[in-house]
Amino acid sequence: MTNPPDPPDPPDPPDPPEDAVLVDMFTTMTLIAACDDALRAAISSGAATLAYYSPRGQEAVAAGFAAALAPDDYLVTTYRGLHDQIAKGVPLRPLVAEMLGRAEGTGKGKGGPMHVVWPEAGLMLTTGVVGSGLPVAAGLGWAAQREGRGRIALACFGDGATNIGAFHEAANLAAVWRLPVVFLCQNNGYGEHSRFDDQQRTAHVADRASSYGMPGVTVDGNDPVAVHSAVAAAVARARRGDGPTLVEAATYRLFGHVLGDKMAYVDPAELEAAWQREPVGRFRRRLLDAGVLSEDAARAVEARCAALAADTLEEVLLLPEPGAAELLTDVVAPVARVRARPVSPASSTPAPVAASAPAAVSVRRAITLALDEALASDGRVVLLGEDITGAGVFGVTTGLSTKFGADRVRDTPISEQAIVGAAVGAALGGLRPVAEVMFMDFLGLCLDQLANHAAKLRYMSGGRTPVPMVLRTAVGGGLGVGAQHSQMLEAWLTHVPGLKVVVPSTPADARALLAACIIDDDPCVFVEQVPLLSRQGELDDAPVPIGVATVRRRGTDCTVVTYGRQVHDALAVAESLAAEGIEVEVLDLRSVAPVDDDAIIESVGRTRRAVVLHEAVVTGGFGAELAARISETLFGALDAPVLRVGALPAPLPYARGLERLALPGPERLTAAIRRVLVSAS
Amino acid sequence: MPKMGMEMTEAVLARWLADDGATVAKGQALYEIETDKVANEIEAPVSGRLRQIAEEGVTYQVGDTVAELVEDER
Repeated sequence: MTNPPDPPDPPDPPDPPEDAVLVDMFTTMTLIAACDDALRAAISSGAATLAYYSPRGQEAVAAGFAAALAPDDYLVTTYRGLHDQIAKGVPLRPLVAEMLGRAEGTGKGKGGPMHVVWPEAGLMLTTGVVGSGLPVAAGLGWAAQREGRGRIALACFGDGATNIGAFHEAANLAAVWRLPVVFLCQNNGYGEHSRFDDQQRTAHVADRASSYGMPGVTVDGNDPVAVHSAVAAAVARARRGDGPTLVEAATYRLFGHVLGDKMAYVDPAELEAAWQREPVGRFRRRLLDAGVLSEDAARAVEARCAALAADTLEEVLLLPEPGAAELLTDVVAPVARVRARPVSPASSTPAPVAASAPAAVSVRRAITLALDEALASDGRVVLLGEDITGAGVFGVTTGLSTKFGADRVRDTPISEQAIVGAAVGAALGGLRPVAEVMFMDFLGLCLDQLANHAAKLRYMSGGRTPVPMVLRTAVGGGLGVGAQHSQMLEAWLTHVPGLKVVVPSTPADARALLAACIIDDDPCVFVEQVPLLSRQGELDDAPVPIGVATVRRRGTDCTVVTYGRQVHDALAVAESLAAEGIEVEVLDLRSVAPVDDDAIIESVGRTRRAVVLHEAVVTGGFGAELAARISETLFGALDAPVLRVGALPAPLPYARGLERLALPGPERLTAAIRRVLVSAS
Repeated sequence: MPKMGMEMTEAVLARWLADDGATVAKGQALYEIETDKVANEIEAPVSGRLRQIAEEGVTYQVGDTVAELVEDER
């Protein structure tokens, strides 16, 4: 093993800013402080009610970095973000309106102060989850890198964020991929209510840069010129294609974690000293001493900023809150639902599961084909995941990197949080990423990016930042691979509004549904059950919209509502019961979010009996949702209670005999069908 | 037919690499298998005379017997 090379030296500082830039920075800082004053006053008086995370004391960081960015450079920030948002150019009125939950806000009042975005100014994400913005910034950097116009992404975060895994995964990915990203740590000395030196042993956050082979530099965060200098150098490095830089701006938060914080954990002498270094007044004195600004000019700036802040707040307080119609708007894209096939029994014929035929292909090939077709037809489509430039662990991505290039079909480190976060960021940056998380059981490693970000960003932004991405993930139940590679967890996902989830059962559906997911404007999870991958079937060119079920077998006595590989179990059971004169209908949902209520109600309305079948554990599974929907709509019409069949409540055992017992097999399905039929008589 | 990897349940015996009736040494490649995902050469676990059972181009399930090796009589 060879020693790794030393991390690169910090980039050379550029020329100092001109006087006009210095005055602009002073104006920005003054406006931030004025808005902070106005908001604190409104909260204290009771005119505004919000949990407010004051950025007072950190104005110089925002003014400094913003002066080093171009208007269309991307910015990602955190809940203590008012200063960053103002500095990047978010207009004051929609910004304050969002903080006060008004319909005119950046997110129509549905996101709140922790979730301000303004794509017109490059602000693509404000997150309320510490550290989660960094993987998203990496993804925005990837989109900028592919765009090739020199745009960069800057991520703001606090010192506390550098102790969470997202920081490590994002920094590593950005370095490995040489992404045009600037990681800007605003080290204000505290994470929540805990001191910096109680939370890490490194003296400076910037020391951590060497772990990732990127330069790291610490500057005085209360000096906008120092921040500007360091960030400008990092931006220049990123634009040159030399990769990311970690800049640490040492600063202080003057009003604690959240407004009202007694700051009992702060030494009063320390706080007093911090006020002596307060950046706005300090910079004012410096500009006056240097003759850049006159006393009169400074006062004029202050008066203008104070009036703008006060007037804006006064106007916003009179604005209405969003109306009730907004509640269910922007959860997903506003697309009229189109049916592939009618569901009325008179006009519909069952869609057969194709048996092996000369032209048959496997589910695996169907997925490869869908990816191939999407990559060929849309230059925005990119793939990312572990080992995907080779065959991938299941051979699904075979040949794609050779055909489309390793920068469009891109290997990642083993970093699920970075993979999904980068997909979110890439989607925000205009790409159509298809991320692979090797096993569904690993969703726990990246659920924050999926559930808190991909799923919620459209809604929290009032529709400004949709996340058109696909997450492909495999499940190995039935293969004897043990409890950490086998669990169907679709119920985790269907519980989160904003996500779409599909579980195909045939090659034709796999191809069509994956294509549908890739063109969809919302985050979609595409579940690949590994035992299905080698299953053969014929392809056709019929589209399969997300959210549309299909009847696989007609029957009159009972409907089995199912999806994925259990469709084939249900068909086999239906065939064997047909010999006894029992006619079972098999409804393949294909999508579990959104679920095709119409098809379920139509089918069970006819058969009056339903068994819900899935591979997942019964308790709290998606089958419970299905049973409830059927009962709520058809209670009076049912001839029997809805029964659920699924895995038994144990981690899936390894030994083959135990695994077979745990999973729902034909025996338990048959027994359940017989029970609902007995109930009916 | 051996199981190679997590998901393999069957494979095509692509071709024989040793003749029927030939004497093969332990470690010598006997036949090649193919799945959608992998192609693998399977080696003789012991030395002996090969009796081919499976046919080229046919799909076999994991655990199916594809050949016998008769150890040398001494």
